Amino acid sequence: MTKHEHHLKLTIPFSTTGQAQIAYNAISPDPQLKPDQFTQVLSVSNASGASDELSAGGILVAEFDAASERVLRVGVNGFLESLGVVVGCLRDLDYDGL
Amino acid sequence: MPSKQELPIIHRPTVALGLEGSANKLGVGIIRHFPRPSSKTDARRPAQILANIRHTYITPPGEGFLPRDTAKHHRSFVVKLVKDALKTSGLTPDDIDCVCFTQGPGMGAPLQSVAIAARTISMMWDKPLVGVNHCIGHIEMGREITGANNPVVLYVSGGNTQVIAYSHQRYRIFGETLDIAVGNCLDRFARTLQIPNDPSPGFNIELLAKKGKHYVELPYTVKGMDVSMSGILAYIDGVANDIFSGNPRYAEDGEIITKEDLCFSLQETIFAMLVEITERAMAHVGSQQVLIVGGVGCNERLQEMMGIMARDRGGAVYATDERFCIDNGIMIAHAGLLAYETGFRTSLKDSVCTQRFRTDEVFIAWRDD
Repeated sequence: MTKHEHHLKLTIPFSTTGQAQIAYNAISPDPQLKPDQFTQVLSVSNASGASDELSAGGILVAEFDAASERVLRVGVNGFLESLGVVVGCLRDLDYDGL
Repeated sequence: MPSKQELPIIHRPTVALGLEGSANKLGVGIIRHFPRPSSKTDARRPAQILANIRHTYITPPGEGFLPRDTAKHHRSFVVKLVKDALKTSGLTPDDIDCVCFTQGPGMGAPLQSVAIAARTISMMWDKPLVGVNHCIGHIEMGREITGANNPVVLYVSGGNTQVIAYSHQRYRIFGETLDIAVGNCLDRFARTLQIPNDPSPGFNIELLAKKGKHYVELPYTVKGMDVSMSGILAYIDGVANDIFSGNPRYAEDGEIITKEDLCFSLQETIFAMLVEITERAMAHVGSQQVLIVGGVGCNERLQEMMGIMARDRGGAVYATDERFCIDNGIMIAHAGLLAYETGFRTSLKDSVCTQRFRTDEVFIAWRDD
């Protein structure tokens, strides 16, 4: 994970572990376009032991490793854009919400 | 790949949600299929279209649509369109059997944006995912709507130009463009002329072409069963640029060549090329039917020219209107549901989109003729 010198770690709270898992499953299949310059490792953890009230459900952890700041910015933006679609679906297309 | 076998019989109606976003149209459709009749002589009840909603990313005159901006458009609208489609259909997620999405061919970023939505919805609703080849979507929707059972298919759009015929559970490509698609040629000429992209550049070219009176000779580039468009575009762009920079061209009757004349000449030339290769494919496979699908298939002049050829051969042309010709979600739902009914599923790990996905890669398990 520390192949390059530019790193970022994001922890994204979801209301349930199931939702965090859906986000993980929806985003992980797509390969990175330049794996030698940018890697993205996702994982899901449940929030047991989390002190933060926001992350009482599940957490999607995203760790990025990039060859330059620019590549890091572009890659993380891409991840956030994809995440936005997932969150939009989870929020508005939920069984109960419809 | 599955081997040829009896199709599983599903005794109840099935419903699919389809998501399309391979180019600048975002489409969401919901379709219902009725069970296959137990007797082979009975016709299957036509599919029922429960929702077919589209939102198009339209760029200013002179500009094409770029992958990044198109993807952003799709991300912004996909949730709303799915919601609207469900509302239109009056269904709930419980009524849906599978979630279908375009897996390719098309632009990478827009495809991926819609695939992420499809994966998420499939998991949220706990419904299987079905990846669909965009071209197969056009062909199957065209067959369903027109009732053409075994046509030669001309698939003409902004990204694809293919002459296709079915044989042994594949849609086989008889001829295609060697460079750019017919629709791309028209779209790019519309940009040269700086005419609006609303509702579509091809539609505006068609309107101008109706007012054209003089035919300007253009290169005619049929190569065997294939066509080439890029040379024609470069040539007509050159003529247009001459005209716009104050070097008018004159027709034989002394009148000045207008942009209407150029649109007319471009359509006549490239459509004649398409008619030629389609006719050759019909002669080869012995088919009397031509089915025109894809966005350019809405063009009434193309339908008319193809109709003249088909009638001369004792056959007929089958075409659909803009609801089904232009990219849409219903065709993805339809083709996906046909595959679903044969037991086809797409796992998450196999749900990655691919920009290149040829029509003949797909095993057509749902046809046994």
